[in-house]
Amino acid sequence: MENRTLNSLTIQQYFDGSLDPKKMHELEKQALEDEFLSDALEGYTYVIEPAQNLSILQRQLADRIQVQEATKKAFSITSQRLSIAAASGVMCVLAATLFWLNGYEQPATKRVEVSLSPQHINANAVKMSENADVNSYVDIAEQISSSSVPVVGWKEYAQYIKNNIRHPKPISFKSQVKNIVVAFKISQSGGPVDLKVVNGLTDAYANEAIRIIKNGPKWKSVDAEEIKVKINFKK
Amino acid sequence: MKFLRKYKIPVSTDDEQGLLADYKESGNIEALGALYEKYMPLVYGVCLKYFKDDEKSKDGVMQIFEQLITKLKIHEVTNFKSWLYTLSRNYCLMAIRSAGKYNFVSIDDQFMEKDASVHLDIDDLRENQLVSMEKCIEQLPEEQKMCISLFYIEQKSYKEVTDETGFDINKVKSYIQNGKRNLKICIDKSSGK
Repeated sequence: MENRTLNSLTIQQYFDGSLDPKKMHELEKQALEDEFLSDALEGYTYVIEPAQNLSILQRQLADRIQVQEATKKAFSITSQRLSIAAASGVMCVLAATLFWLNGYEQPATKRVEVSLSPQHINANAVKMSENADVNSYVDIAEQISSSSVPVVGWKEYAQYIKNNIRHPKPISFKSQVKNIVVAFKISQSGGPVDLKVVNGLTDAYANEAIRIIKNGPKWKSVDAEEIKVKINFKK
Repeated sequence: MKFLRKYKIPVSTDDEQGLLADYKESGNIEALGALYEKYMPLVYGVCLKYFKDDEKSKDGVMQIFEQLITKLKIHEVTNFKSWLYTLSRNYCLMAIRSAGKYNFVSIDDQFMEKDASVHLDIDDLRENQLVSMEKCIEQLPEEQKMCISLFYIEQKSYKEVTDETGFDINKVKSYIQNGKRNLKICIDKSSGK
């Protein structure tokens, strides 16, 4: 007989006196060799209903294990949840970046639109006169919108402005260049009417810009839309 | 209330080692539970011995289980039963110490059950030793002779010995213990010849 571990029934019976004497003897002999067993048997003399207590204990143990397993499951789900959280975190960052980028793109496109037109017009001007130096036009003046053109052509127009522009004195702007954008419409005869300054104050520069366009060459109006011309005053 | 048992209660030491390895690897407490269930009556009994109180002992059993959960992750345990015994005893002693009460255990009680130094394994003796054994038994004091004979030779339980001899059960245990010691001395003397 080896290692018959103590179970609650045996204990109950042993202390009841209902255990088979042979088994009792076996148990006692085992206790002589086994300190653990002898201690335990000694302990049982202090209780009345060991079997009942032991079954309560078994239930407690089972409950305890259930709790641990439940918490463990919560933890393991958490590790899945972590990966979900990480993924959604990445998506949020992506979305935020996209929004951010979108926010920047529109002004860029606007800018693109704006810069295209004068270049477009200048390109036309270049085509019209092959030796045209585009940069010199842009320095002096730029057409910002509309496809209407000066009757004499842009090159001549720019030349006109260069020759006739009168810089107001004293120079009152800090940067190298001051731009005045003048918006106007074309009358039946092709002359600029309804001139107004789009940017900036109504100062000497604005008046000069208006003057020079008003007295300048006539325009070939493509559509009845407003023309904008930017005059650059350089120091 | 039965729940689906993933792990069976271990039968052999190999089974126990298997469960321990399982727990270390998977951290699955059910493995520990199966192992603990086997020894829970013993742990409970030991707690009872020290605390002498049912509620405290039940708490003790559960607390010791908690200790298992952490310790078995770290330690390598080859003999689970004796390790668990030491753990349980230490827990009980610590608990008593922190409670500030000192239980005075009668020396006689301890001496009787756990005299490990006098380990007389009768089954291993050879023929001539058996003969000298018989002679030595004859030489024992009467009470010791009676108790030894009844317990070991006739394989009677303490209760039966008490009934037959009229001795108090603790006295029976005492006689058996002292008898064993004397026999050992006697047999050693005769084999020394």
